[in-house]
Amino acid sequence: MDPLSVGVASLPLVVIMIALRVPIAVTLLGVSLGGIWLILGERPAMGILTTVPYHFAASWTLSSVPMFLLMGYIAYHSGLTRGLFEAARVWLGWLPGGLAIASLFGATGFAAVTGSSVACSAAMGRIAVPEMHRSGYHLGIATGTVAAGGTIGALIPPSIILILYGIQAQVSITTLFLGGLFVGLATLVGYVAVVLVVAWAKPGYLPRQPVLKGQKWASLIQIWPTAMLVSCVFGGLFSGYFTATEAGAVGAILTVIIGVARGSLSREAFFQSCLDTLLSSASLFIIAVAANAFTRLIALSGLSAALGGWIGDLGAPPFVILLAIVLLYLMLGMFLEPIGAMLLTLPLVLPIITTNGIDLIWFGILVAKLLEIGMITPPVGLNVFVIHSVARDLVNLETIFYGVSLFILADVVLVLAMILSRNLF
Amino acid sequence: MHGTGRLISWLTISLGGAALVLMMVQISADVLFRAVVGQSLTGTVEIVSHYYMVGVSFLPIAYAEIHNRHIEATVFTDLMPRPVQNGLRWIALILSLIVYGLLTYATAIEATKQTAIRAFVESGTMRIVVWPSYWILPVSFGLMCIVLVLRLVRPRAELIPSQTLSS
Repeated sequence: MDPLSVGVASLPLVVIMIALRVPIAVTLLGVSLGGIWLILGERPAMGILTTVPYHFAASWTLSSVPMFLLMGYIAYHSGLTRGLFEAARVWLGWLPGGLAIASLFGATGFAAVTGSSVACSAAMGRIAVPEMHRSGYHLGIATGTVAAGGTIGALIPPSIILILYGIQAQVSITTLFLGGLFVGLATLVGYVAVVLVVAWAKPGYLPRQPVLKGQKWASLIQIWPTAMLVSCVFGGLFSGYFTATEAGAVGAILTVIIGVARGSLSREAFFQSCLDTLLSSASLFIIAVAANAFTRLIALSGLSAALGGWIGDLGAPPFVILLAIVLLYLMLGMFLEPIGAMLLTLPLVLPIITTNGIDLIWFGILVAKLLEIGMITPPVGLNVFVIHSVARDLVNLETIFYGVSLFILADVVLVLAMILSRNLF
Repeated sequence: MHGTGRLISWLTISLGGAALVLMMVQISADVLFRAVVGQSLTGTVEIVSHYYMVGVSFLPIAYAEIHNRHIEATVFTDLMPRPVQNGLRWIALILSLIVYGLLTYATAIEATKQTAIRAFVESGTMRIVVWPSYWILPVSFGLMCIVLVLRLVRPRAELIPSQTLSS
């Protein structure tokens, strides 16, 4: 078979296999193996299986992924971030919709110690949702705020999705982190605006809270460990004291030290954190390995060059191409786990981005933002599922999706703003 | 999969966990050492990449399978009737077994080659032996194959609907 048809045939095959619940890693490895076999024969195909897994995993840069995961899980299991919501509440509770705004700030604070949006939602959901329920908040808005707030977790550094993007696109992870920080904060501003608008339009949904006095400074004592951890890790990282790779390990060990010093990190919590880290890294890395093999098939088949050619022949301006890619990622995010979806598509998308002169750093942050929107859209919105599992007795899924829809609107505005202001970066 | 599954879980998780903790400690020690003495610990990058990372990446694969943590899309199949779902599950298991079987075979041959040449990498003036780390792959993939075979032979006990996955 000629290489190009093999490449073209591989795409629908991947889609069908994934839809029929073949694990993503097995799909990509199987298709790559078969495709390369058809193009070059048995030995090169088996050669992919021989070399790719080891050389992908034996990587110094990649080690930041398990380290940042470990840091986030330890912070979560040792309750390090419990004080964040309380502190945000004491300082911001006087605002209209104060509890919802406090939970958004709490999520942003937690985002700085975790790279995953699900963990961020779960942590805030457990604390903030019952509190908002007690205060008579509309449950859709309450749960929607927390589910949406969690997406900030994967944008503000550390961000697992940005590290893996940086490795695959071969761009600086520190620069990606800076961009992620910026877009994460912009997302926070957008979400706070949504809460304020709801509080103004439907005051009954978000009843005002009595102002808590005299606890302002006490509440800050609660969050000093988090503040210290974040400033050490990111202070050290952005000032060049250590690299993004080393920041993860430093962050993880500092989190352990803080947990032990506060007496909040039990042996069980530590083991559970390690276990969660191992499960997350292994299930992500095998997909990354498989995506790496798939990249080779796509390159060998000449598909990316051909695709670039077709797009060039269409004469579409970069704006239209970007819009198409945005829609693609929004669709994928609706159905797939975000990191899997990203690793799956980058082999095809990155060459198009490069040939159209679109900045790879900017694009990485856009992809992270788009896939995070997928975390809160139906039918598969992982953050919404997590909040539902935390607050099962209070709300049904539809109510949470209803509450989250307003925040999706803010996200769409932000994505449009990103695309329109692209030339500024 | 009581006995065998538990043994595989225990083995892979304790080794993987050890690699994880050692990675954290050694990288931090390296950063601290550089800050105090102004010099890196020789071999940190090599040991972290070739041993700890390979261990953390592949050892828990079988464990993740036992706990249904491999990432797959269930949105479409959830709408299908039960027997169809079970049939698809069976096909997915067979495909997984083929892919992981080939991976075990290919990486075992590579490990044999690296062992034969006693592969090492150079770090400064030091030689760090890396050939043993190549064996982590066939061992991890082989254990994964055992778990997959167990699932195929004893499907009834194992056809638990998998939970929504989080990463």
